[in-house]
Amino acid sequence: MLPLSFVFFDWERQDEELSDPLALLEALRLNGDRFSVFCQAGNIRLPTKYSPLVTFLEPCIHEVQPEEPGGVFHPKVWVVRYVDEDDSVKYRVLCLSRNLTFDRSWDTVVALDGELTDRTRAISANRPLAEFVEALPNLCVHPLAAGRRRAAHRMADELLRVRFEWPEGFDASECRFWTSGLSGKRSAPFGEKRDQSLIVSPFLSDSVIRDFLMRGRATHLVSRAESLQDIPVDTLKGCKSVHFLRPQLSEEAIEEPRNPEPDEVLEGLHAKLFVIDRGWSASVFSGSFNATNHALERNVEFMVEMVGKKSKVGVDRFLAGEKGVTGFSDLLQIYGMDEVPMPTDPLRQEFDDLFRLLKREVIEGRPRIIVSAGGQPALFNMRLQWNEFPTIADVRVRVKAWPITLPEERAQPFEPDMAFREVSHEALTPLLAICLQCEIAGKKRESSFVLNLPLEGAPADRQDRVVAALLQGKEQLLRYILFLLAAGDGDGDAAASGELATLLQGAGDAADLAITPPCLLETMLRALHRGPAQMERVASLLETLQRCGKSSDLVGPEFQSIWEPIWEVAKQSIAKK
Amino acid sequence: MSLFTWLDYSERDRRKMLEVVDLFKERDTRDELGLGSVRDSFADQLFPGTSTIMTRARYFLLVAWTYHDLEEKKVGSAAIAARGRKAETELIEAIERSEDKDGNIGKYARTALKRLPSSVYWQGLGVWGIRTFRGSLAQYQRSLDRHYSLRLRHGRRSEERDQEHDDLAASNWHGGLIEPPKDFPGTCSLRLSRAEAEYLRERIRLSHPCAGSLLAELAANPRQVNKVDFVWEHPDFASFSLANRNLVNHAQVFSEIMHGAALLYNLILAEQSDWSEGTNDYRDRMEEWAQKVQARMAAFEEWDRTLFWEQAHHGNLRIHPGARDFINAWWDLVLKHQPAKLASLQSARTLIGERERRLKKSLARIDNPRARELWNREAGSAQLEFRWVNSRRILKDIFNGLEASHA
Repeated sequence: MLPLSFVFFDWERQDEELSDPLALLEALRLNGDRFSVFCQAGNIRLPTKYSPLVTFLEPCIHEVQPEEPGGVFHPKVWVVRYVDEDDSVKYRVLCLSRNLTFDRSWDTVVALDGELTDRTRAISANRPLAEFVEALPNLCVHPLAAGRRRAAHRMADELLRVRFEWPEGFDASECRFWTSGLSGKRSAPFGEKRDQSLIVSPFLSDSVIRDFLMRGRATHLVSRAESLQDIPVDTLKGCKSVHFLRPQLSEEAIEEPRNPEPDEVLEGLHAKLFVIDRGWSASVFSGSFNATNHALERNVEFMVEMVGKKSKVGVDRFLAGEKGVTGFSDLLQIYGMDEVPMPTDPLRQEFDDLFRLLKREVIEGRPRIIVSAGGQPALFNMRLQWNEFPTIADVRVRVKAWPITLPEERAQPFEPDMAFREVSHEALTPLLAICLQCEIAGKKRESSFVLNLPLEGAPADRQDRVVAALLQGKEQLLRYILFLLAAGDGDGDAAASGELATLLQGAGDAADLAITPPCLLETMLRALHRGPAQMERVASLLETLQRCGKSSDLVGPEFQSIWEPIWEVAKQSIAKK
Repeated sequence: MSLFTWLDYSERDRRKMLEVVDLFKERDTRDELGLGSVRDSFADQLFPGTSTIMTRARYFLLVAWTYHDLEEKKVGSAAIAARGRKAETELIEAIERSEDKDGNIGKYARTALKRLPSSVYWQGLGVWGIRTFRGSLAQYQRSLDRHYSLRLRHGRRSEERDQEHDDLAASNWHGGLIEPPKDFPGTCSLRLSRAEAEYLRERIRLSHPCAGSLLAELAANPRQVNKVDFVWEHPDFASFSLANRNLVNHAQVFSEIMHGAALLYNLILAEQSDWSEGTNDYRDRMEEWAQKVQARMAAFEEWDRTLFWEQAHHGNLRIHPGARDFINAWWDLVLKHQPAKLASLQSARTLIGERERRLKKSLARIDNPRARELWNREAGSAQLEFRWVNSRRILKDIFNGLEASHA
């Protein structure tokens, strides 16, 4: 989904109807090397339906596990590096409270742009950000590929010297990043002196709020009703104000047709904000920290601190909201201490703890998937091999697993020697779905997640095979080849611009490959002139098609007669290198 | 530019993204042997207006009331889709708070619900004559702006001419549509009141496509039959009208005979997948089927196939000749060979394989290992019941309502 959104953004900007799935396919393949996603191991959601496109995401997803037992990797941070035409380097850092999901909750984002400066000394406010990026490869459950490790290292190094522009209304010399939970380091971001504080957090710990009450003169609290009811009334009474987010917009707000899609209404609080007034100034913290012990003592967390004038960004200002604009503060409702308690699930905590424990045991068993040839041609066996098989002694627990490419009906119970036999090429995947089925006090509950495991012994052309399976018919193949050839265009923009659109259009008209479009020869020659890299891509695709037995259906003699001599020349130039 | 703000959410972008991902999804089909057109023909004749995804009878009223109400508020074509969705999802919450909520559509998906009750019941509402607007939900939504302006013009004129032109701005809903309770939609359960149950029963008995159907006949003679799995096992079968008995007989024979084909298809896949447990299971089920069919052989031999196809075409003119040929060929095999031998009969296996190949081309599971992997190990292997189970639930709601003490 992530690379798709990048690609979409390009499309929308160009305002060009290039909604060709093949373009998307190649964009996905190309962008795969350019981004890495780090996420808490065991927290990848199981998709409802498998898409073969996932193959291209496998190398980008890296599961991490904090060193602290019971700690969770919690940051929601994006770091993007841009290289401009004049080779200058720019960074954009996004610090969010939203996970990489389609949640519809109230979340915040801090977007920071900055330019790499040529100073030699580090900017000290950036140090936590650099340390955070530097630490990522070492937190990975499975070793990170050398190229990605180097990229992370370079980013960490450069980030020390990036001069960030801070949002309007904040004093750049005072703004900074905060991270916590790396190599045992804990931070105390909120300082000793606090005049007035505002805590916005969906989850709460009593001791954290009491710490605020102790150190500041007035504390305002905003949370979810479910969380507030678990906090002792004495603590809540100590707060200057306690609010919760109204569960839904009121009726009259919807009656106005101002909001054409009620689907887009945000619901539920997920933002984590701390506003602390000190003298004339105020600090606004935004990121992943909840007002909980877990956040402050166990998890890996990340946030930014922005400092501005109290009169502009302070607690009072935030609670008052902006005049004439319906915003967050308008949705707050005073929490009455005598509020009728929300129905809570008494077993939830117990189930959550059990699930977390089980996940950890499974992950620490270090499973790998070993592929070997099956009994029948073109079929394979996938065996699960463990460093240490998790001994799940709990009788209340059943665990089953299956490759996400297969229906859940094919799941197998956890055993030291598990194998999925006679599976097709398309079913080979490093992504293993695991379902934990637990029973506590007669109630059954399930938790499913996906692990991205090392896949050993799989054929090297897995990605090409997926492409081959997705290509339907000659016309699509030709367009895809044209796409590959044009994509390596040195001008950079050619691939994304009108030229390519015309190319694709031309190919589309010549639906039958017997009439080879005139542009093909030209495009191939140009690709050859630019260098053989893209030619190699095409050659490898054609080889795969041949192995799949699809080439005779898809590649006509006309095409062969153009392709072969040009590929011969390309091979010679590769040999020379 | 750097900034600090709330994060937006766009359902439109999310949908768009999922649609593009969908372009690449692996295709799969449900109706494995292409029996759906014949099955639905009988289901439509026996239980008109029902569908397999319907849950409860009261939705027929809830949907009508919801849109009737939005029309009263003059919600225009541009806004109706969103407003309707909102009203329907709010109903989910109201039903969830009620004492009778079993079958609450969207209980899990809530606001993200894709298939709203209005889309599930739209067709049935027309068949039962509760919706008088002719056309799809989308056409209805588009027609509203015009509908309001017609109504307005007509309204003026009727004052002038003493309501002579009643037909000019026809209502979209049944003229006698029962009023919702005062506390609707704030409070809402899935239990029918007596008056509501009577209203629905009258619609089933009187609406043109339903009148005379088995559904109408069953509605007219309340009898709770919760444990009857197939309509031909209904205790009142002997007293059904002759036409309905004939229809049920055809449906029963078709269901019993074709069940073997579905089982054999799954057996072949189980064998090919090297799944011994499943192979044994499907073999057992084939044997069980063979015994039942053997016991019914006398009836099958007398079965008039010409009449059967006439009846099938009566309900659906578009039954593909391929489906017809396949069903006839399977039927011949069952008659010619001992049913117990069909599981190992090569010509029976070839027939099944050819059928799937013709329907699914290169995606046929029998040929394509990848397609076979996506088999959920249970492809249409249940015996056809022609929406009897759904209809039984809907009838039960109506019968319960008729017995209710509150009007």
